Amino acid sequence: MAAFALALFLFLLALVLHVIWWRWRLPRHHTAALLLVFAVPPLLAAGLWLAEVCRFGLTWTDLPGIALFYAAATGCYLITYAGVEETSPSLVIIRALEQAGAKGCTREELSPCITEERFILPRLAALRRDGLVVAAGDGARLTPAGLRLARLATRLARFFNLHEGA
Amino acid sequence: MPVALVLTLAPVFGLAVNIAVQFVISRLPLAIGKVRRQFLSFGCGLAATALRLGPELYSAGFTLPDAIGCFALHLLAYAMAGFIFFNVINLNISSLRIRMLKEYLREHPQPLPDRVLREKYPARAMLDARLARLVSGGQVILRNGRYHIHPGLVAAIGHFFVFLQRFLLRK
Repeated sequence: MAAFALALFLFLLALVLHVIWWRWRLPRHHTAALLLVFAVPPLLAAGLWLAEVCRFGLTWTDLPGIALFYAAATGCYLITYAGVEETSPSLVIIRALEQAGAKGCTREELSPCITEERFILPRLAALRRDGLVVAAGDGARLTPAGLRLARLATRLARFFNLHEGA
Repeated sequence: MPVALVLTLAPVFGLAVNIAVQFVISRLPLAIGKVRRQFLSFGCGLAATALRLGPELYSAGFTLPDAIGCFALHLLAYAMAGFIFFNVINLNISSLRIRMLKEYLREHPQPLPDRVLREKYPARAMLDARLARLVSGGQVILRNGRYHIHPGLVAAIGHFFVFLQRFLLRK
C-alpha cells in the first residue's frame, strides 16, 4: 500500500507544482516546463530514498512499479494537457451545442465555429514553430524530426489499418 | 522470476495484449466502430493484466492492504498506458497536424505549397467530417436537421476541458 500511496502522492505533488507555476505565470514552452515539473517530485523522492533520509517504508522491489505508474500518469496528463492547450474542433462543436441548449444547432449555425483562421492556419504555423517543417518555396518541407514523426505515423496507420477522419 | 519483476511486467503484458487484439480486430469485418474496437482491445488488456497480477499477489503472501495497493498500482499503470495507446491511435485518425505531416511526407523531399494544404483541408469539409464522426459515435444526435449534444460523458468531458482552459490558461 505504501508504494501506491507514494506514487499517487508524487503525481499529485507534481500537479500542485504545475498549477502553482501556471497560475503565477504561463511558461513560454509548455511541454518542456511540464516535463520539468513532473521530473522534480520523483527525483526529489529518489534522492531522499538513496540518501536514506526517508525510505517511505519501501524496498528496492517497490521502485519499478512506482516508476511505471508515475511514467504512465505523466504521459496521460501530457496528452490531456495537449487537448487543453490546443482546442480541438470536436470540443468547439460540443461547446456550441451545449450553449444552444435544447434547440440545438443547424449545420449552418455551426459553420462559423470551424474556420480556416481558427484551425487550419494555426496548425500550419505550429508545425513550423515546433521545427517539424521548414519554409521552402511558397510552402514548407519536412525537417529530419518531422520526417521521423511522419514516417512513424504512417507505419502506425498501416499497422493498425487506420483510415483518416477529420 | 522475482515477484517485483512479474508485477512490473503485468501492465506491459496487458498493453501487449491490447496492441495485439487491436491489430487483429482492425482487420476483421466487425460491425462495430473504431472507438468500440479500441474499448474492446483495452478490456482484453485489462483482463490480461488482472489475470497476471491476481495469482501472483495471492501466491506471494502479501498482506491484504499491500495486495490491494499493489493490484491498484499496477492495474492503474496499465489503464493509463492503455489511455496513451488509445490516444496514439486516435491522433493518427483525427489529428490535422499528423495528417498534414503525412501530406508533406508524400511530397518529400520536395516542398508542399501552403495553398495545396489549404485546398485539401477546407474548414467546411472539416466541419462535415467532425459532425459525421460525432453523430456516428453517438456523442451528437441529428434530429430534424438540427444537431443536439447527447447528455452524459461527452458533455462532462467538454466541461472538464473548458474548466482546465479557464483555470490554467485563463482562456
